[in-house]
Amino acid sequence: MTASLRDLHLCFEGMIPAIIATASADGVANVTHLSKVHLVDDEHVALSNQFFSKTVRNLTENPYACVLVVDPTTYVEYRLDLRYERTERRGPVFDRLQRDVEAVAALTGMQGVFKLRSADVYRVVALERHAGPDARDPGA
Amino acid sequence: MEIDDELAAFLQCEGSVIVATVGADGVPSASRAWGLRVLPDRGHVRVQLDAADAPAVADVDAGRSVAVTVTDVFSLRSVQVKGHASTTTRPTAADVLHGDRYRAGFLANIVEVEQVPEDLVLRLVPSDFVVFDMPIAEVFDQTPGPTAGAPLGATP
Repeated sequence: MTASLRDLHLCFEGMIPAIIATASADGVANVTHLSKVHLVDDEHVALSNQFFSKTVRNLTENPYACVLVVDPTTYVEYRLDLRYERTERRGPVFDRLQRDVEAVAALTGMQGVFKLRSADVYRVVALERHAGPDARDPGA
Repeated sequence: MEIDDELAAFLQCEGSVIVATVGADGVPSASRAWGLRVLPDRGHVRVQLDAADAPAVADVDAGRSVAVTVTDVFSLRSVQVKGHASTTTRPTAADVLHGDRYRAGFLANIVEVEQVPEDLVLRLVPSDFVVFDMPIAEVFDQTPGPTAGAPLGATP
């Protein structure tokens, strides 16, 4: 890993939707947007589980996911390879995600529709620059 | 499966096009696509990928599962199509024209929605592309909300 997760903190502000790819146990791909990826610590991120059920179902069968996040100030895109580690239904990470979900619901007038079921925590097993200036420069 | 005119038009709406592929080890890869065209039989899509996106290109070339989601950046309506692609090839002249037109439209839409300078968004755009054709095997509503993941039907 050439950059640390904390170097990418702007990618986790929710300014630009992220992308998550997962696969079922029998190898069927799935891809969707995520409103936000949450930075937990130097090695982990969390995703809110509301009702993206196919993604969640895939991750119960196959714990690997690939996420693309974009720095909103530079439009450099980063690829995070993730491995599911645990689910939290209370505690500080859950509370932080719940506040975000409620804020988005209030902004969109969809209170009661968007409800946090759990905060799913993933270990970042690889991180690389995926697109943007110098993305293909091995020294970048 | 053959999709209807409305869905074909939506898939070509110059929205965000994102792709998932799967490696031989079952590990998924996420990518952006830079053009999508519904072929005249309305049973296949032709998708443009970053030629330098080695994992995605290799996964497509291996004939494994591919998922493509198109999102209208104004309404957030999203549709996902799935299938197994054939190998990637170089774009034809028609593909180049279509890709240029798609990217100009998509970037204009992003600039309007996000209120960001176009030269900033342009940094995401690759310089070289490959294309692949994918038979549409399944279609799903992927619009954010409780109905995300619901199957959509074929043309009667």
